[in-house]
Amino acid sequence: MPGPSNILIELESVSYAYPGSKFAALQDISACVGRAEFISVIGPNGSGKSTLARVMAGLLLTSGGRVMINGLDTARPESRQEIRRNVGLVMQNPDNQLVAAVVEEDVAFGPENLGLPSAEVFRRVEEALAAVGLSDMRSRPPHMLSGGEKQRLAIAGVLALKPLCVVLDEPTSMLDPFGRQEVLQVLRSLSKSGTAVVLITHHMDEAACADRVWLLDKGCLLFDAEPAALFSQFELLHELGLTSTSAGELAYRLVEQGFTLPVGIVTMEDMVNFLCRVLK
Amino acid sequence: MPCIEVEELTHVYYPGTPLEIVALRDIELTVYDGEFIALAGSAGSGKSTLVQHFNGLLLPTAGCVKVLGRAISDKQHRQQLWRQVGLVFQFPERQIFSNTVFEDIAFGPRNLGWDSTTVSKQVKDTVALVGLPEEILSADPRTLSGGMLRRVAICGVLAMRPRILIMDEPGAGLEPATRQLILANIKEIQAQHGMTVILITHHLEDAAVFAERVAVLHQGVLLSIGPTREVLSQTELLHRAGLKAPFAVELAQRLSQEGIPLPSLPQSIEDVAQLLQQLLQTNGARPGGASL
Amino acid sequence: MNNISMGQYLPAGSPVHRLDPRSKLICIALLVPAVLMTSNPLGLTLVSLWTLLVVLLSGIKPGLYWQSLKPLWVLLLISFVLQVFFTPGNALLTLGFIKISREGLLYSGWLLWRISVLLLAASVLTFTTTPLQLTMALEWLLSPLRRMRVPVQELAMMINLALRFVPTLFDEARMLLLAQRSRGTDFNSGSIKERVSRLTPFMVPLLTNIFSRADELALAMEIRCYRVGAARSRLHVMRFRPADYAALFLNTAILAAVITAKAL
Ligand SMILES: Nc1ncnc2c1ncn2[C@@H]1O[C@H](COP(=O)(O)OP(=O)(O)OP(=O)(O)O)[C@@H](O)[C@H]1O
Ligand SMILES: Nc1ncnc2c1ncn2[C@@H]1O[C@H](COP(=O)(O)OP(=O)(O)OP(=O)(O)O)[C@@H](O)[C@H]1O
Ligand SMILES: [Mg+2]
Ligand SMILES: [Mg+2]
Repeated sequence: MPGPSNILIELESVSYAYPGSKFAALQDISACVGRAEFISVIGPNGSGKSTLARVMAGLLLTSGGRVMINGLDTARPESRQEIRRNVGLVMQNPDNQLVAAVVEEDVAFGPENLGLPSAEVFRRVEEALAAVGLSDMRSRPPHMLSGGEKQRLAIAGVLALKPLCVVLDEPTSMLDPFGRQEVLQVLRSLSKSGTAVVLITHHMDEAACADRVWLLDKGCLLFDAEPAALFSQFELLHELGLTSTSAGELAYRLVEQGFTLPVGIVTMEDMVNFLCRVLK
Repeated sequence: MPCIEVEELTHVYYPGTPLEIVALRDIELTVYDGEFIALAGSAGSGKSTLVQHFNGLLLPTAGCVKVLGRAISDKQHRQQLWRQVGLVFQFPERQIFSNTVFEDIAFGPRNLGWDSTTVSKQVKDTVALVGLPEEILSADPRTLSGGMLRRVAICGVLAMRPRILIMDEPGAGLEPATRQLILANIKEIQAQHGMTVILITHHLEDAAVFAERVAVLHQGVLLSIGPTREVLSQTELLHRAGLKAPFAVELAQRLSQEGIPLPSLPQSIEDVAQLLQQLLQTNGARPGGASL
Repeated sequence: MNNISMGQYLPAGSPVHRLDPRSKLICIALLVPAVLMTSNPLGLTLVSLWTLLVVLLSGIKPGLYWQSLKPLWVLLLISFVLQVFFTPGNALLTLGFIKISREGLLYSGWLLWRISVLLLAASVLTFTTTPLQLTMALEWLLSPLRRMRVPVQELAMMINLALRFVPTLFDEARMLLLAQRSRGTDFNSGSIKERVSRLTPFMVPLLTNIFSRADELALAMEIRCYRVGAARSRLHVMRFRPADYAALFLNTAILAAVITAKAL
């Protein structure tokens, strides 16, 4: 848990219901994101992850509770612009967030809106395109890209804004494993250099890379813990239709067969280390 | 019996323009009736382009694609293909166009000319196959979450019980248990009714469990095709294609590097668990014994 | 399906691509009166040759110009034929009730020629300039109006969005067509009445989708810090280079020549 001075986003018993809907998509969520913290969010379909992302980016105003971003209340209209600068959001469907007719212009759109000098805009575009591996496609029209390429472009568009926090809603669902690894590396180095990252994902191995994991179900925050603690809650995860990480699932199978394993095996390295210890 | 024959297929987007892109190059591929085949490859490798030829949405720039015995360049054949070939698009949001979930799923079956009781029974049955509750049928698709929407898109095609079912990354955005459930149900239909299934996926774990053969595309070229076990154990080749072998294969390889060879190459987590169980037992670590 | 639609930017890196978008826009603005004012064949030939030269310089195959303008040319041709038939004058040829007059032929021929040249010039502009560049140029040209409190930047952004929305519209229509066709709507057969009745289930979702795409676009712009009225900077700085002065000079010369010829 980050200390009070290090808190970037603070959710105070946040609730949200879509207009015309009887059910609350988010219920009484209290949590916080520290500066430079890497958080992943998991949960079944319809559990409210995308809604939470939009609330955290200040796009949806809460029906109850309060969201503070870098000390600013998202409910106050005058802090809206500042909040947009502070939080970058990558939405679930990349098609929805491409704004320009050429790849590089799309990435430049955000920095241009910040009013940065041209040289700086250019540098950021170069950097963002290189980070997602799209430099070769800079002059292509976005609507002619493949699914995975569109997702990369959407990520680049937000990276170029250099916000204090990036919220990504399943940004890698259409990427191949290497592409996913690349994006994850980019996110990790972002968080190392001081940007907070909130990553929504259905890939547990990916979620396990974070500092903390939030588990959502039916709009409630069920769990807010380190990966090792959450991913050994096999029964809870299975009950929700989720799984542990691959290594965690293997550990679970072995435990079921009657072996005793140390708690907290999450990555392949953990598993290999454990097996080496026992079998050598 | 072959149901899709691809011969020297080349597809070029916008040929002769500065935007020209060769998406597929000299693809040779045969899909057999009733098989479950997985199509893998990195982003932009041409998977979506390839399968759009199978229901006649795209036409070859060069070469020939025969589906169910006739070339898709034959217009009459192409126009009837939808009855036999179902395609779940990569972005399901784009495939859904009705005001309620029921209407959307019923669209295809109605066009097939089924009567309304059959249609609504079929819709209800299909919704259960993808793990959605029946109440969702009256919902407006625009109020659904991303994963729910994807399931509705799968239903819309599955409800037509096509002879050939093509799914473009159906697992993206689904919770793990549902992904398994859907693929298992489709596998069952495939086994019972002889449906042919073509699954585009990056998730080789799924391919390992469900597919009989795997084809790997890389930059528009068919890099490899063969029985699942064979293709998935070629880690080198998979790496070259931007893919990663399933967890089980990688773990086995890491262990053998560490001097712990497994007796055979596992494909799934169940396989590894079983192999490790034997290994742990022969090493004297009894189940239920004290801490290992 | 694999056809380039009008208004699509085609990256090619030709000299025309490298021109400053402002000079391209001004050149078009000079060319339009030149085309409309010449009444002698020599003048129009000159202007046409000039346009063709620019087409060749644009680094885009002439066939693509033909391809993207084909639908419009078909329309033009039909109106040409109608004009020829319905303009009164000395009959050259009479086929029953159809009468082809000298005046009709001449008048429509001129019109067809002029519009073709203008369409070609406009295509050069859209093929070689991205919508954003066009917007910037437009904003610059209109900037004097700012003093009269015209919201120039917003106006330009609106035009930019309209331009950028064209491919989205085509894309949306195409996806919907594919989605419906792959689940059994047959758009190609049946009587006219049947075909029209199939259009309703197509048009309604198309309109809803387009509206929701517009909504999403507004949201996407907001997420990326776009704010109406805020000062924006630019990725590419516009700069006039020697080639721009040359292009401007030539186009001005052509317009001047046309005007002089007319006055003489
Ligand atoms: N625009 C909307 N109007 C009404 N209800 C909505 C709307 N969008 C989402 N919902 C509902 O809110 C709930 C949470 O949706 P949300 O999209 O946040 O889920 P999610 O966790 O992102 O799921 P997924 O993993 O499938 O993307 C769902 O029950 C959904 O049906
Ligand atoms: N509509 C289109 N117009 C022009 N080029 C396209 C179009 N769709 C795809 N391409 C290009 O063709 C190539 C193959 O794309 P395709 O969509 O088949 O890839 P894919 O294997 O499905 O990738 P992904 O996993 O990212 O969806 C890519 O380089 C892409 O940029
Ligand atoms: Mg979501
Ligand atoms: Mg694809």
